[in-house]
Amino acid sequence: MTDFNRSEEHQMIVKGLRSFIEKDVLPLDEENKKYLEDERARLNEDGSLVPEFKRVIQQVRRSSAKLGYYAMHMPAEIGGGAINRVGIALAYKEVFRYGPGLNVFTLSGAEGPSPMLLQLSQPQQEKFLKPLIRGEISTCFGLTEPEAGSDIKNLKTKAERKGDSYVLNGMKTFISNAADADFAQVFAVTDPKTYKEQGYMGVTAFIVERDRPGFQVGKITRSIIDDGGQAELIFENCRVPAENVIGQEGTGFYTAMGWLGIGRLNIASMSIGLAHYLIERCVEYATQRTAFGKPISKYQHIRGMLAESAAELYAAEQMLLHAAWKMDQGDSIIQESSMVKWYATNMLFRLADRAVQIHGAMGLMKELPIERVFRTARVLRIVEGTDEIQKETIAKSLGL
Amino acid sequence: MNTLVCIKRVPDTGARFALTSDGQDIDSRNLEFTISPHEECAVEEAIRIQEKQGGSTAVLTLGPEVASEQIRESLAKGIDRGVLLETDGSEWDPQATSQAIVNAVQSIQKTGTKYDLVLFGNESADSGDYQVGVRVAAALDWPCITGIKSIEFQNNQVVAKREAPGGWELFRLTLPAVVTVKEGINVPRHPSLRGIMTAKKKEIERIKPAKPELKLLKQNLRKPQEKSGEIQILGHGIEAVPAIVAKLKELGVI
Ligand SMILES: Cc1cc2nc3c(=O)[nH]c(=O)nc-3n(C[C@H](O)[C@H](O)[C@H](O)COP(=O)(O)OP(=O)(O)OC[C@H]3O[C@@H](n4cnc5c(N)ncnc54)[C@H](O)[C@@H]3O)c2cc1C
Repeated sequence: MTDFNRSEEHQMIVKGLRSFIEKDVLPLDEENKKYLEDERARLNEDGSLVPEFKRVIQQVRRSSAKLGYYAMHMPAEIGGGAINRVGIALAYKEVFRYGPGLNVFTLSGAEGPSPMLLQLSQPQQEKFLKPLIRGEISTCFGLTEPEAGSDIKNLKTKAERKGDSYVLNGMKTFISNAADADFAQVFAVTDPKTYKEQGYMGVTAFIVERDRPGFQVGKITRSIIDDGGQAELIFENCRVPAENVIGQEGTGFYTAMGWLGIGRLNIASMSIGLAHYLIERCVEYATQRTAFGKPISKYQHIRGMLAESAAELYAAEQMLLHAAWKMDQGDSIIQESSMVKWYATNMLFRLADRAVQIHGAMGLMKELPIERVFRTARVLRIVEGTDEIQKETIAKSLGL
Repeated sequence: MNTLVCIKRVPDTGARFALTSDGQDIDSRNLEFTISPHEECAVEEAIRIQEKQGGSTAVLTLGPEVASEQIRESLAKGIDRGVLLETDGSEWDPQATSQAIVNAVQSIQKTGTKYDLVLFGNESADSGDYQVGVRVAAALDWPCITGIKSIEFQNNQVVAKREAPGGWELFRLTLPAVVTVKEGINVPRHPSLRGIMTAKKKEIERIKPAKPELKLLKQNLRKPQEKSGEIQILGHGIEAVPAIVAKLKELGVI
């Protein structure tokens, strides 16, 4: 039997997050409005974030980490919260319910600790993982390459074993937080023959520290969200010691696949949180804005848009909770995680489009966060597996 | 220093709320519940006192089983243990509430825990009776001071400060004592995730007090008319200055 009651513990986590965001984070939003609203204030010439804004983000992460929220998905033994997937889903949703402000840095993303790093040796965990959990340093996840996006069987970055180290050559692109990461997690082919034959094996994950010779951060790409985040990683004869291998040689990619579901559910939770935010904003605006002598909320077109939005959001939320619950039971959710990720991100995109429509010109202005959610919504249909890749996975699960 | 904090579960009404159709209660179906804000500060103060002085902390509430939610929230912030005076959820007047608290304090004292300080919020966020703390102190024959915004300890005495126009009133109370505190005495902490997880393991003692005959009966509730703000434009640019000055004088600001 599925229990639809939220556990007391989950309710307390949600309330704790609310207390933190409302009292400590939202006031910072107000002070840092110009960075949130305007990329000209937020970015340097080279596309990186200005130090003032970085400091605020850092402040949010560290305070959240001090309270134990930032890395709540990691095991308790190393300082995480050991919260189950339903709890994490509810937490991300709650955080993103506050919209696209500084609150989004409360819980860790690509820059933070991931279960993959639990494969590190004890001393390496002390050095890399624990400071990540405390929000003191940050990382990035380097998989995508110019010729390997969805097609991750086409990686060109290679690592050759030379004595007790590896020599890396190649390039990564669109890597979130690359410009600021203290170390990168980099996937490189170590066994080209096996990789060619099997696709998933023969790839190894490495830790590459920011100051390692032969490693540099390339161009920071400007984008639709201009969060100063995505950049290239360039490796030219970059020598990395064998102790920096994450897990076992040749299995890096295979093990990373095991966590795909988590990333997908997280994106879905964020979409659902943002959708709640949009509906609240739209209801507020539609009741206040009058046209032709009455509030626009009285017009059937507007009411219809909001009614459909609420129903679609409800569907997405139940899908998410079911998939998260199933994962907590130890079941595989390959099919479900793709369904939820695809449905929730597309639901958010439709809602964001309607939200712009309901707000009229104001929906397009940077003064309101609506257009920011619209742009974010577009991104979420590409990252962590595009719409088409999710549908491919679902189709495969149907035996096609 | 052993501190007991008495808290009340109240609806978190925010800006909007509705009444039940019989006008007896706030319609809580879509509402969240919380601890009265003054009492949240009392919880924080108790934790700070323990951090500085050692001793123990406990939190007590009178209410239905669901009020254990507010006890757990306090435990998550660092309070050691909880006491629930469990009712059937119906309204208890201040006299009945304070009598139940006094009985509980006395029976706990008999088991060995001697409270030095009992903290209350100045008034609860819902009914705002301003009575329970004072009644408890009177029944226990302990000194009591209300509306406090600072607590310190000197030679086994409480030094409590209350804000007064242009300064502070200072009070010394011998222990044990009852103090009711006001928002502003501190900034309450957020519960940490670790705190939430350990709160599950902390003890909540449940006592079922006998419901005394109520002498203060609620007739019904009526919702006040919602106030709608009015915007008056006094003029534009520098020409508006005399009108603004006149308005400020009228409002008594200058
Ligand atoms: C904001 C942002 C942050 C990112 N952060 C990171 C990061 O931190 N780390 C990282 O490694 N990568 C990151 N990426 C890269 C991201 O993972 C890739 O963009 C994504 O996997 C898609 O790859 P691609 O852009 O090369 O598109 P392509 O794979 O070239 O796809 C182009 C189009 O073809 C479709 N397509 C491809 N294959 C198929 C198929 N088999 N069937 C049907 N359609 C197909 C796709 O769905 C898409 O519509 C980020 C990207 C963005 C935009």
